[in-house]
Amino acid sequence: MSATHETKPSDSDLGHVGAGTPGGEMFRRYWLAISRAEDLRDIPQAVKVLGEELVLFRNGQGRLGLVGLHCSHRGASLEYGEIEEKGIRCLYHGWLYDVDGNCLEQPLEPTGSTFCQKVKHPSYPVRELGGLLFTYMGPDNPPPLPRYSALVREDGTRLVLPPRYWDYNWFNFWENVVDSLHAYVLHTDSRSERSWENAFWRYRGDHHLDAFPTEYGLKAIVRWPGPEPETEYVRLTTVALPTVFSLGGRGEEDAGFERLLFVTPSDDDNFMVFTSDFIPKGSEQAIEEREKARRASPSAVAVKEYDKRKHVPFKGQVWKEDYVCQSTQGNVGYRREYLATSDRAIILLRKQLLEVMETVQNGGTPMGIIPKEKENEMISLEAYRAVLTKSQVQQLLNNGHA
Amino acid sequence: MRNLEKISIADLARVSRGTPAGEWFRRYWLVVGTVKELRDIPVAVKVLGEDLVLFRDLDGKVGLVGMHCPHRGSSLEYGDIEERGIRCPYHAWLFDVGGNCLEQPGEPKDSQYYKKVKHLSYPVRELGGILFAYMGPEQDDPPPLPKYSPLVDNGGQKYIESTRYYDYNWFNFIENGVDPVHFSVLHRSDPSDGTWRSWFFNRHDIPYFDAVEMAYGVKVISRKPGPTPDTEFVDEKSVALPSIIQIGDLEFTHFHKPRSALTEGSQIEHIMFVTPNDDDHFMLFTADSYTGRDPEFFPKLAATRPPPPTGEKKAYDHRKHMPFRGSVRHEDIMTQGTQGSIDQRDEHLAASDRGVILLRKSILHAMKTVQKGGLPQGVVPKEHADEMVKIQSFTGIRAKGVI
Repeated sequence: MSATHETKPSDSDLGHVGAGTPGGEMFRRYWLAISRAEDLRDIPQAVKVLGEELVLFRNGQGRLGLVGLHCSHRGASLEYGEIEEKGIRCLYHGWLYDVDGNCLEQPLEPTGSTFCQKVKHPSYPVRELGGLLFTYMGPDNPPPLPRYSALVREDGTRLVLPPRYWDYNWFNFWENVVDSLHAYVLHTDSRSERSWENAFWRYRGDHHLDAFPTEYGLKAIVRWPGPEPETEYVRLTTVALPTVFSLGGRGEEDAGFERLLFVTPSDDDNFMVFTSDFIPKGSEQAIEEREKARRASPSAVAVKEYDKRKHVPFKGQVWKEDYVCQSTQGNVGYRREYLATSDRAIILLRKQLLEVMETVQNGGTPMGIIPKEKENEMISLEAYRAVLTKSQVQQLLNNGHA
Repeated sequence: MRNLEKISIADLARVSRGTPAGEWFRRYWLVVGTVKELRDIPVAVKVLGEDLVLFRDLDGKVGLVGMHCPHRGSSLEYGDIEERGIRCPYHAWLFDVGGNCLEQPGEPKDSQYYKKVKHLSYPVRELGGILFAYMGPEQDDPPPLPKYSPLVDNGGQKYIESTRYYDYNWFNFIENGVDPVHFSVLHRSDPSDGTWRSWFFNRHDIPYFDAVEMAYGVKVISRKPGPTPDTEFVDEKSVALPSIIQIGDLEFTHFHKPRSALTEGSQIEHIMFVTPNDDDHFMLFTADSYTGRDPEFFPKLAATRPPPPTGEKKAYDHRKHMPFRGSVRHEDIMTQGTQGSIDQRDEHLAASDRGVILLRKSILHAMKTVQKGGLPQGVVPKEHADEMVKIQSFTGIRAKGVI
């Protein structure tokens, strides 16, 4: 498949991220998170991104490099190379590369050889923002690196969580983030003590799910009757293309808390998730308590001796509940589906991504790319859970339509 | 569907929907589980290439439905079992054993969408502790479930063995059932140990066998002269279509006895149902029926079987199947697991393969019958629904010349 093929992208393209595929070319127009800054120490770090085997390192001068894993000479892995002042040196024959992929030395070549200048090793630009490292693997000049508020705000504490690695298709995870309702089914056991979640079961059938396009992606709003007659429970989540997800705090007591998830496919069957929290000054205690509850180990579930199912036990542990569902779905476009009303946000998300692929195919600028003139602006991805009055809800929905 | 003339015995190896053997298998009730192994959690089971989930709802009804939820595909193997069916863990869609969607809690009140969703499901029936499913056409009016004699109450003792799983093509196992001479070679033992087996299956005096076409499939009968002129020692076993082997002994219980001990026959029906998971895997379900005089036949048996291989393994012997000697199961797995499937191997069939040849002929004919829209051998016609299906097997001494 070539990047310029004329076929309109379809669901099955969402699962493929290799170079030249519609999905792969789409991802290659955005900055993608590839590592946590604090994890990149003084040794090279192998990282697979969009099917490409790469190695990340910081040279002796502190500059960040992301270059091909396999040495351009005869392929040995630079993951085992030596980091020097000017770059990374292959352990096999001593070829030295700088962070831009230029070959600086070939010690075994004759004195006076200029072969070095003919070797260009694959490399991609890397930037650091808010404790995360991002790369751009596309053509031409990279667009501005989005300044998401959780990564640039200074009025509190930033906490980048350890990255997580998963072994199924990225899109199963991705569409789940806008599937707000699953939390009230799948994660019920683990949160049953919270009346907030239980509200869904009390008002089952009285809920509404809406999804609206925004400047950079979409927002999903799920709501149902609130505790007072003229109120509604509202859960708002926001997505920025291609794979940034904002799920905020829980209403007023956490005002200003932000959690951003960045999803980066390693290949068609594996992806990485980077999580960055921003905790505003004054909210530390409330957030700590909430997180403690979230991290609490599940009530010990006794596994029956005859229960040999691979993923058991999973109930009571949010990540594992998600893993069981998402890793068994099969890939979108290949699986048999009956999409329902509750999939409204997923339908919009798929539509947006397919449109973006088409835009990229046609040489256009896809949704979610920050225009040059807004390079320095802070981008706020709104997300919260709150009880709102009906008029506030109306306003929210109107804005959504606007 | 392929042309009739293109169908060949090699087609036996492939069992997915739409293939000649896949369509043929889908005309029979196939064993998919056992009552004792189906507990209160869903069981993932792959049958003829289809990923399915077997469960018993809290009402006691058994269901076999598609493993992937029709909504967005998550595995129902992790679903919750309820009174009326199984509920997907992801969005709580509820399905009954008939594949009907009963609830979609995430949909708006008054939504009728659930009525439009029909999940893949197959009827399941229970007989003698064994669970059978029918995956063929006319699901509402399937053929009768055959009343296989070992599964029907006859006043004797019954035992359902634990399900076994194999990683090679199903037909290698089945055709071995009508290959009695391999017993004298592969499963040979010390000819002077005084047992019936060593004497009867002596490889220097291999008993002659007849291969006989039966209504249900093929029977092979091996014989040696009996203690009196009008009797003979007999080992008789059968393969019934589509994929059943029945023998008259189990794990050498009687073969280990002196030959004089078998004057009444073994009184055992050991029926083995093979169900392909896919082209490279199958499951083996075994039921035993004993009508002899030992009041504690099965409890005594359980402690002594299956016997492990007794063969030695040299320090430098890293061959995968070593050791295998001394265990009939291991010996069979070594040979059947290395043959390659019938569509892949080069063969030279010999006179001693006459049982195998007859069986292949019967199955080929049955596959062609299905292609032509007919009822294949081994499917019980409606008018015989109540009749017991007696597959023949025998080990011991009986009157000479019985076929």
